[in-house]
Amino acid sequence: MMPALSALESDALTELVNVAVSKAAVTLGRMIDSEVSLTVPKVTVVGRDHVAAAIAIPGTDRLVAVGEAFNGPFSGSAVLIFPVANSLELVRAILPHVDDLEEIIEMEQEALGEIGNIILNSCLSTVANMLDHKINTSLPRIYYGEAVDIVSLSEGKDAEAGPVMIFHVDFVVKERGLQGFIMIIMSVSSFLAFRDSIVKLVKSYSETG
Amino acid sequence: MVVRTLLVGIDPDLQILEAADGAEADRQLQKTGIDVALIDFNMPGEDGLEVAARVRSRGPDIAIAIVSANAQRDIVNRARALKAAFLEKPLSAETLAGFFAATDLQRSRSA
Repeated sequence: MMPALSALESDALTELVNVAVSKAAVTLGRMIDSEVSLTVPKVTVVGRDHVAAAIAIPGTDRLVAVGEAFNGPFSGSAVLIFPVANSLELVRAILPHVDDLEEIIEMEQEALGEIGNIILNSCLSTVANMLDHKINTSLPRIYYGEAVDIVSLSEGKDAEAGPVMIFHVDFVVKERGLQGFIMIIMSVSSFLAFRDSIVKLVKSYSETG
Repeated sequence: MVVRTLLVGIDPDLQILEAADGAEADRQLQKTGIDVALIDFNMPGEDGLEVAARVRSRGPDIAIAIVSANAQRDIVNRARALKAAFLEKPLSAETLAGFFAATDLQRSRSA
């Protein structure tokens, strides 16, 4: 099922996702003034029916997600996901000058949208620049639900049938007790276009290097 | 809202106008002249560079900055073509103060 990549291409892919997600983690760290640790990106191909199980956080039912659709040579969705229970703490962390809980609750939606917007754009623009492509991103959307709701909402109605590629990276902010992950979902046809770009990138390394 | 807080920190006497989209920005600009425009790239309806192009057509001396985490080369280059700065999000007080210092310098040179 997984479109075959050579060892070098697979290495370039992991490196690309690593750089993009690390940049996003640094961005998040700057916003909340804390250290953010990341796991190594996982790339999996799963059937649509199994995506929800792949993204579930053990011990957590309700999740909040901020998602953006992207399109260009390849299309998909990028989503920042964390337990609902972490949401207010995250908002509080980026608004250290606001003490009033009511005010924080009032600002929650706007702040979550902006957090997602900054993190996802920082990740996607790094991918675009490394591959020398233009990628358009939509405005952020916020949704709440269980893993299964998040998947159907983040993909929208136009999702192609068939399996999807998931790039999945967990992040943890120990000192604030926050956890979550960034997920990029692409159809396999988009992944093939993405792979072509990776092949070109690898070629450009060998030409210049 | 974060930007407003940072701006007040730089100069509490700044008069700050806010617009949620390009159309609202156009309406505000018809009523009032401005010296500096901070424009988010991501906005409803159109992108910030389209709004920046209209702001630029109102005055070559308006200091414009496109503010975004979307630092794609194409977007940064389009900002430069409009003689606009590109400030990457998350915006820090230092970055914003640097931009304001540079605009003051330009204005005192052209005065």
